[in-house]
Amino acid sequence: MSHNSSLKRPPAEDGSLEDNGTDMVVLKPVKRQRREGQEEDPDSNDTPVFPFIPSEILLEIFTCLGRLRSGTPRGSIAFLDLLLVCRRWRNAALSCHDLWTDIPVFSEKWTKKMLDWSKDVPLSVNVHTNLATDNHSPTDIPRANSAALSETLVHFPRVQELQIKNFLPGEIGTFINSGLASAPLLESLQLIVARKELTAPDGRRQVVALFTPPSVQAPRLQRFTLVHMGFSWNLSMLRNLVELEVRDPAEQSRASMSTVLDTLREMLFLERLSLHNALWDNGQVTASTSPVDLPRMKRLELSGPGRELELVLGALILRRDVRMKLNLNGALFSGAIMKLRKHYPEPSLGSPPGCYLNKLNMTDGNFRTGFSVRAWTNIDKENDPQIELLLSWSHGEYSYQAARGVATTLSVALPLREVEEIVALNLPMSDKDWKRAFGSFKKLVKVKRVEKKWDPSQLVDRRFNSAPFFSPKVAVGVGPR
Amino acid sequence: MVLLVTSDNEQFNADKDVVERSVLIKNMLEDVGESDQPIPLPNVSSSVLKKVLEYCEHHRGEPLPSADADQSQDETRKRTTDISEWDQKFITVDQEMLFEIILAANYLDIKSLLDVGCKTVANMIKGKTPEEIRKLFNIVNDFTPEEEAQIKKENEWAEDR
Repeated sequence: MSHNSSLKRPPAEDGSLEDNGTDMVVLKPVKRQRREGQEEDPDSNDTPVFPFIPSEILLEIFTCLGRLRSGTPRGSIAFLDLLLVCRRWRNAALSCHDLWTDIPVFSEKWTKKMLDWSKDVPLSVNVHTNLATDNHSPTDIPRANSAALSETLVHFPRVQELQIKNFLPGEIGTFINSGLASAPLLESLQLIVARKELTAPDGRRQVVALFTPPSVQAPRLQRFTLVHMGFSWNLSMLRNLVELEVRDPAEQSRASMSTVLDTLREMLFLERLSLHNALWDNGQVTASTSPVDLPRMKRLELSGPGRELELVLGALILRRDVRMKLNLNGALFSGAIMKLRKHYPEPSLGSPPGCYLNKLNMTDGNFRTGFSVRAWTNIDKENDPQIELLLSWSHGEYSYQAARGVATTLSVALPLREVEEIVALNLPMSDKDWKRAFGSFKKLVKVKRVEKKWDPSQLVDRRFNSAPFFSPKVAVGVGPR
Repeated sequence: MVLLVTSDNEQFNADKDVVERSVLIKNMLEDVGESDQPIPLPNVSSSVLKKVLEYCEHHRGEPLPSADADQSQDETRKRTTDISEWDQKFITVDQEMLFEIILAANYLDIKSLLDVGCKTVANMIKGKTPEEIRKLFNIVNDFTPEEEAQIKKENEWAEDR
């Protein structure tokens, strides 16, 4: 029987390099030659001495290797080293089309070679463009060039994954528009436009849309990420998505709550949703809005003003094993907590394994954090979904007392004692406060604590006394159950 | 129960739904029909079969790739680069056993186990220089110095940015 019929045709067993179907230089047929200084081994042959790997399995290994995407614009360039191991590996590597599918688009020569070597196998394309504004990118990242992009565009119908980072419209915009007009195999699309902000008349900083993707003709699209760009919630494009991430869209293209919820209602396959500052409250979503059922949702990440997150959470029906990551931008959040509790009302279900708040991230926010912590501690452990809570914290002058208050709250908050990981940046807590807050966290295995020196005289703010954190309604009654 | 006989003449009794994760054995059983006859596995030693059966036992009941599975299913399987935690622990063995398991999975036609083995080796190769790979797998460099220099020159890419 042929039980490995799925494996590809193995390369020549004798290690000869002729007729490899590529434009690589053809070496002379192997006549076993010892390298200078190498000892003669009568038992050795042209295959690895130990262990012997049949060529068909070597091809399978290389196929797996090709699937381990580098995630960098160099793509399959990383695998050129395989051609230098030995003749047999060189032959096998050049025969393995899957190995060369991560197309580098910074060099016309290598783009052509990889497109040729990959034959008709679906492609991954990772583009990094040359940006004067891109101050954070390492200088050794190779930039896309126009000839390479043109070559790739010809093969766009077999592009399966496309990632374009930190781009400015123009040449790359043409590439995207032309390619996405017909992308029958495209399954994963990540577009990150260079961030551009302007100051609005009211003083706020606003992201400006430098690019809005066209209506994508990609029937197999499953994963879609858009950052810093215009975006319309076009259902025909989104209906079959499994993962959707919209991060900091341009101000003018932030979707209204009702539009987002109406679209989500039709996205029945959605498993991961990340919305970061992507919504605005148009006043049409209320407590009486019919809920949106997301039966397959596994991971939900939301960032934004508490009020908007509260509305979205209140309108979603989520299964209890959903992992959530919520990052609120300073506004009160108790309403969202109450909404969450409303959606997890069945105490009889108990907690599924791993169902607890397991990471506490306290980074750059403001005094309202204290209130949020306190609100979270009111969630019943047994009704607690899997939540990773990002608590905002600022290095502003009024954080100090809040931090002390948080320490007290944390020390008595039973659900939070399940926390395994804490990230605390610029959190103005003394060692004593820290010990008081986290000393009882028996499951804590990872702590990242970065602080600067605080001058207590600068940490006093009278406004703090009127903050919700000190509301008597929430200040008492929290403790071990 | 099915009786399996290894290359070193050891006998293993295993549940039918466990051993049928091997397409080779499944087809053999279908060909032979109901029988008490042992199934010889001349290409698998007892130590390796023990590991293979451990894998099959753990994954008992999981859906098998059907013979008429479409290409997209096969593609999906290959494109999943993750190895589950249990599989990672299972495949943490010495190099000789690792390749023996891969060979056995290929012979017995257990695609999921072959995947785990090949992905593990792929992870071992990733990011290594040719010299490191040769050392890791005890591979002889059979290029002449001239050929090696020629290929290195051909592989240059940094200047092509």
